[in-house]
Amino acid sequence: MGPFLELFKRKKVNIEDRLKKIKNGDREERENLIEEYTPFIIKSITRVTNKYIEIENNDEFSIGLEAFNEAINKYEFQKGSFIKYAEMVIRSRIIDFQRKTRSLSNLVSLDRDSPMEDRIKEGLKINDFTDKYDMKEEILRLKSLLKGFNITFQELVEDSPKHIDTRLNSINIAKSIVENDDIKEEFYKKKVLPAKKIIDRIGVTKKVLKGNRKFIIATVLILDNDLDLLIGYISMIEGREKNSV
Amino acid sequence: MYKGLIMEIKNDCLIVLTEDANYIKLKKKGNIHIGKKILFIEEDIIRERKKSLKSLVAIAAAIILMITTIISQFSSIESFKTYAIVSLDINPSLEFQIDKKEIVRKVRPLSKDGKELINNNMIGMKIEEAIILSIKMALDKKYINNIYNLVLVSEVIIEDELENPTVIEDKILEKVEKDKDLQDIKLLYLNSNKEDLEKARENQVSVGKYRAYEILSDKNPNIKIEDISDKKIGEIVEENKELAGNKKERVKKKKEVLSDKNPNMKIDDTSDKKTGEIVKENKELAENKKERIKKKKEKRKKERLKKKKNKKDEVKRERNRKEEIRKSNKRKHKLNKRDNECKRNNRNQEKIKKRNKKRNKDKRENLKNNKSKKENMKEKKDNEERKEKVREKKDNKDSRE
Repeated sequence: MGPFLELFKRKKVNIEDRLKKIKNGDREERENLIEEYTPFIIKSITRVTNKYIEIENNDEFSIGLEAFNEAINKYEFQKGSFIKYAEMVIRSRIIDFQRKTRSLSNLVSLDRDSPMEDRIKEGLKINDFTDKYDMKEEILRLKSLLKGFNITFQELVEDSPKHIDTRLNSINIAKSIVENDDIKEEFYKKKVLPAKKIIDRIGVTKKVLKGNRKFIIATVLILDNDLDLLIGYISMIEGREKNSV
Repeated sequence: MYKGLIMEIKNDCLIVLTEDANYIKLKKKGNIHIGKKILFIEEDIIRERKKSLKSLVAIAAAIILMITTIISQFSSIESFKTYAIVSLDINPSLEFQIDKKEIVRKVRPLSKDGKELINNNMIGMKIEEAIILSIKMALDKKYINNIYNLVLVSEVIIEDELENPTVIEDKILEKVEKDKDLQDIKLLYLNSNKEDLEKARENQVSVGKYRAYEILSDKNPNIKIEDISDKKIGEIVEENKELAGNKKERVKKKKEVLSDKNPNMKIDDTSDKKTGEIVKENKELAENKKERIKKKKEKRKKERLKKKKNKKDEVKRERNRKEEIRKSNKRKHKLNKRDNECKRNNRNQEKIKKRNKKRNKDKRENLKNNKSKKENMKEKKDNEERKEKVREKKDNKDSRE
């Protein structure tokens, strides 16, 4: 809550000027503003729904964006704080949307009452329905694999490197481990990272290896076990990095 | 805004793999299934370590603060104990609190003008010097002039337990006499005790003035404290010659000491002269003073020794008493024991007697019974015999018949 409030306070001086600019027809400024305020939009939505917004099924998110856009259009400078006004608009739009979907689902469930039906409908709606379930299977498999190395997700939260550069570095180390069959075999046999070989072959310091041990093991397991969806998810980070650089 | 993949659902949180390959804990909300990708914001992230560290630091700081305040308070209390209170009346009245070494620790004005006679340097000075300094300041500000040139000093010793009660009076007198600027000043010294101090505090007067009031009221019961409190000491003395007389008495005492060695001197000579002149004339007085100081010290020492002796005696007596009590108790115990033993013996004897009696009774009864039985037997036998006889007789008769 705190940092957002500060953000708003800082921008508050500017926001009216920016709104004036947008109303005069500055499209770029409008997109910038919306992008800047997406966290705010998400917060306003979750306050109504008390749910996380799913990326694949993001009706609510797009409605929120539309509502924010609408708020920009309809806002009048005498009405007071823009932020409060925008939140009100988003809230009312989301509530409207919820009513609609509820009544629809009610109608369906009166005709044929089965959760399977809903699922099928959902599946039809979303193209990557199977994708999601595969993802779940992959995650569960990763969990059991990690269990073999006495690692839980909880520990990964606590011990994984906080800085993005060290994470990238660790992913690269994991990749080179997978490429070296020799090291990989020893890794699976002893259930430990063969530190000496890795340090000799790949040229990493012992400190890095020790500090990020759990994260590297997890990444190796993901890369080496045909968990394609997870691999795709992880490798997104590199693409992003390259783009940003 | 972050994007994440739900990896695990726990009782109180979610574990999510973000797009930039970070594992993060999130708050739990409505719709969650493993494998879903979600949008979330900074607010939803649970960060544990920072909080605990912050709170720890805060607690540590609080504890340190507490300790330092407590220590500082204690140290300030222990560093200084008032040993005596010296009051100075010109008419602005002052009160000095001094410690064992006669160094001034606190100065307190007792009247409005009193502040004018206080110098910040006084704290840390020897008491004589401080008093002389304030007298000089009073001279500068003309509280003292040719007519009213009397200064009243009074001392109350609060801690009597200390070993060398110093005599400030003489030191001050000496100093005043030595100082040329102060030769016109008459110094009146009154020794007071704790009771005077308490009463003076009640009436919001300086100890010296209260003492003066006491002396005056012995002879002039009409005087009230209020009369004294606002007047200059010099005025009071002039109005009431008794006080001056009192002073004269003191001077007389001095004179008597002198006259022991200088029989030619007369009381009247000294009473009009200033103490300084007296001393100048009689160097012996200085020596006498020293002697007096010694005497005083000795007296006090003796008194203390006496007290100690008395205390010791008391302790001994108490011990003796206690021992006596113990002894008597022991005796009592013994007696009691004896008594008890006697009683027990008696009881036992009684019991034995009773038993014996019982036994005797029983025996007798048994005997009786036996007798009776025997008798019975006899009777029976007799009866049988008789019967037999009768039968025999009958038989005989029959046979006869």
